Amino acid sequence: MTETKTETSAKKKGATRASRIDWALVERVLASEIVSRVYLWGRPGIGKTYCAIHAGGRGGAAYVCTLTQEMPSSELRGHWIPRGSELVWHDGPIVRAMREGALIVLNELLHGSDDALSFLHPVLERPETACLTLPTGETIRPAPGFRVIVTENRPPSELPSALRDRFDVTLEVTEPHPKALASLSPAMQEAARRSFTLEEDRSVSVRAWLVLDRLQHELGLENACLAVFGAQRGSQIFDALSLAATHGG
Amino acid sequence: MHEHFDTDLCRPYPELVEPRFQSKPYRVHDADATRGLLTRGAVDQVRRDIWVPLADDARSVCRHELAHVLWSPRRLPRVAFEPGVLAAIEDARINLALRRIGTPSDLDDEAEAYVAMLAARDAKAREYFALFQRCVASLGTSVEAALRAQLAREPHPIGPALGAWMERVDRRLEAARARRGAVIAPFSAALALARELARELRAFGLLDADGRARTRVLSSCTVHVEGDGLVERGRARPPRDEEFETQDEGVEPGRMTVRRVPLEVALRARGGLPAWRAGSEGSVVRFVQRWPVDRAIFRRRARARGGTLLIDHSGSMSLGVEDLDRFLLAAPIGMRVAVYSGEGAVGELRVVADGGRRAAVPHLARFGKGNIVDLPALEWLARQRSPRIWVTDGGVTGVGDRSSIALRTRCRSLRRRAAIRRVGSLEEARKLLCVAS
Repeated sequence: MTETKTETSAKKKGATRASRIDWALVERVLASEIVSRVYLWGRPGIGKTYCAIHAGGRGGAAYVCTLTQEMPSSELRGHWIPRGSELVWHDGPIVRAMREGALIVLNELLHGSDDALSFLHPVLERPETACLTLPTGETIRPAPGFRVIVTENRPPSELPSALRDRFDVTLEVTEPHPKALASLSPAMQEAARRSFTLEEDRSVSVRAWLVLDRLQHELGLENACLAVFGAQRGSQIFDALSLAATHGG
Repeated sequence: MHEHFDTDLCRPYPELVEPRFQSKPYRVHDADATRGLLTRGAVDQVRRDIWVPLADDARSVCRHELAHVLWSPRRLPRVAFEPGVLAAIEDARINLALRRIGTPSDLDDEAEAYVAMLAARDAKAREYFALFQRCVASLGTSVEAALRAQLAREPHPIGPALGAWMERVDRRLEAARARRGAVIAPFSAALALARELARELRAFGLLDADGRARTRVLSSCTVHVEGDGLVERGRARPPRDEEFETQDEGVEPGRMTVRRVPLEVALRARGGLPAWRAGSEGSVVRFVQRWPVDRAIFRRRARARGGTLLIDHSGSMSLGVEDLDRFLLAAPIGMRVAVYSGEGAVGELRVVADGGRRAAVPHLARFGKGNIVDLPALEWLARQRSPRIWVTDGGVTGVGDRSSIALRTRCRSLRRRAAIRRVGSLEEARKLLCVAS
């Protein structure tokens, strides 16, 4: 018998626990040529959009769009603009990305209006079948390299099933992007890592830590905490940070 | 900025402070609403519970408890004498360290006067053990001077000894700290001092032969409740969950879970607002007649109304699934609607409409018959977009579906601060929304 007891138990643990998706895997998936429609979701402020633009863009052009309830599909597709006495067609970001074979990052998809979500159905089709006929009469097909990455705070289960079905991969990230953490000072890095797992009321996004880290050099830690988090919460965070700084003393 | 929160939700961050991080977060309880807690703060590092007053004036209490998380052992060692003796010296060790790093436990004038009054009462009632604890634990805080002055002003049999012990604890802890070259004396120094103090208290007759206090014992703020051990030894401990419901003044709100159900159905109603507006850019021409005027010939979607509506879905409201469904059919686009109810010690808040979408009928069923989580639900509402409307019959309850004056007061003050408008029924809410539009 070559397998030790410890190894067996470790294997069992691995088999029973759900695996977590880390950022390295996310970046590998986004870099893959095979994947062209990605749903990337996780808590706010962990670097989803950053990763989508940098890892998903593959060095080419990237368009970024944040959907809102008021945003009509015409803003994504394109619209007529009056120029002098005539109307000129102006491509929207999705159409431009399709023409150029570029990346389009759509933030907050679930905030989008029905109109906008319906418009995405043909856009998210497989490259062979995706095509759009514009109000100008022109029909466009996605150029090679066209990709859609959706970033969301909410799970894909909240999407209409027809839309959900159109994504090649669905990736949930549960921890802040290592590059975002690395740009923080060591003390802030540790605080960011710890505060991220707290319940909604107390959790602090990496975005807030980044601002605090920069602002503290200008205002001092206490004033920066007050400015970023407000008086009450800022005092609590300042007290925790200043006490943590004495650790080992 | 987006990180600003309401005062009621301002809770300490022991997780940022603990020397070795554990992924399980602390549960933060409101000490003012917790019965059986003899101090305004307490922390249990093993169970990961922290009690602090969730109030504006409690910063020094929070800081003190955080310092316990940083510097006190996870479990205070079992000692062969009254644990309160060790707890008092441990409090002094913490307070002296806080003073040293420039963040002393400064009480406001009212709190200082209150502590001095308690000390005077201890002395008058000859509760000398409690007086010993109170004075030793006050070392390093702003109330220390007041207590020393009081001891000097009103001499009593143990006064000189107590004054000498305050000096001794201060000096010995400072010496131990200096030897270590750190901001805080080692815990071993506090333990050694506690043993010496216990021996002396036994000599004074304040502890019996077994080392137990003869008079009442104050609670420690660093606790670990394990079986009945501490109850028997210390006679003071934070209450357990089941005890929250036995009180009147301090009914604790239930634990609330915010659940997001799939919002699968599109909302159609716009509450009287126009669905479309004219724009000079767009792809659908609808208003050709405006070309010569302002060229706004395109149809654009009109801005939806924001705001949040919170519905008390407890049994007393008598709201059926059909009532909610009917209401949501008429809910304006852009409004966030949530329902909440509870059972026992837990409750659920469910977001059933948001943006332009709403939940399907199966998700509108009631979670429990009671309110239980009125306060956490209002705290949630206070963080949402305004206008904020709360549909309720006015009953406010906590764990065990019990109400209390304190809980009602907290809900009322939160409502006032967050400008939450209360209406009695869905019908009233509907009328209010129509008027607002």
